[in-house]
Amino acid sequence: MDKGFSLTELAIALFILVLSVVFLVTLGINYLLILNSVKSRYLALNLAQEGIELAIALRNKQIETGSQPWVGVNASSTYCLSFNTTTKQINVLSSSNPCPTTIPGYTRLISYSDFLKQTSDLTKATATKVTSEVYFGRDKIQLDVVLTKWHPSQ
Amino acid sequence: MKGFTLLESIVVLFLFVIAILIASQTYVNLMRSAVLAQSYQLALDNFRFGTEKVWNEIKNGSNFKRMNGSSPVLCNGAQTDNIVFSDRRCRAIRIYPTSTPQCPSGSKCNLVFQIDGRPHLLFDNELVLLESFSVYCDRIVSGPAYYQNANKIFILHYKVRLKTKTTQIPFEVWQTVAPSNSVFMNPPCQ
Repeated sequence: MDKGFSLTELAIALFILVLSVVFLVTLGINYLLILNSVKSRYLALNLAQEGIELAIALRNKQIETGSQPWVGVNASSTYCLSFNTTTKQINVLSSSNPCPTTIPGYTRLISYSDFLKQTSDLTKATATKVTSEVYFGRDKIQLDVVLTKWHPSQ
Repeated sequence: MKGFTLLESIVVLFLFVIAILIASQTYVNLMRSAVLAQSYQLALDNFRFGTEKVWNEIKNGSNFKRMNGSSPVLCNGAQTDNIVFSDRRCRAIRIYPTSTPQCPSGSKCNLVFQIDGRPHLLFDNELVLLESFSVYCDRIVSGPAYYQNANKIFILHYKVRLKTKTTQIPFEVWQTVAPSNSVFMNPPCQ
């Protein structure tokens, strides 16, 4: 009778060995993937919050400087907001597509609408809903805020 | 005849050593990944904690000034690396870069969060290495009421390196704050 392992036994042993090595390697890679995902979501959330802050600042600024509030964002629609660090102004651009941000690979679109759904003319709306959406990879982060027209100058 | 031949023993031993090498290398890599992930997470959390503190204080702050040395700088000028304001309890806050013994070649690698003249380091020196910090703000309207002279938005630009046990990972964040008190008729801290 021949001694030693059969081909089937060897194949099974090798399969188990490879399986355990693959499992450990996957575990290590997953650590780093999750970490990268945490970083991406933090950056995206920061950009979404930036969109909301830009909308708040734009409202405050426009009420103080313009005869009409919501200049450039007076219709229920989508826009791109950004801050120009040279001119120190908030730029408004009407756009249906998300615009590039300060971080490559991340785009943002800001939607304005009447919170009470009564009018598309936001100069007549008492409360405006602002939605800031940030797209990165195949993911998206969204933040909403409702702004009123209240200001001591009015 | 019983037992293994020398050749069989050598082959088995060789295969065993190879298997052990692969397993140990995989284990070491796994541990390295775990340590890297943990220390990176720690550094990121420390950075987030510091920046969120600044964001919250500016959000509820008032009487903002950006300083160039001891002189206040208007937002119409260039960006500065520090900011002075009053917090919600009207305490004097100043945020500025500083040098610590851990900084490379005397550079300013951390931020000081100073409350009423008492300085506190914003980041852990062992976790976060500041490369640059810039403050931008919008042009003011100018007029008699507080809101006309208050900045409506602040942009904070942080460039840091997150320190892990094995490497330093560059990280850049733009943080935007629209202070709540910028629409008041009178200064909140008079």
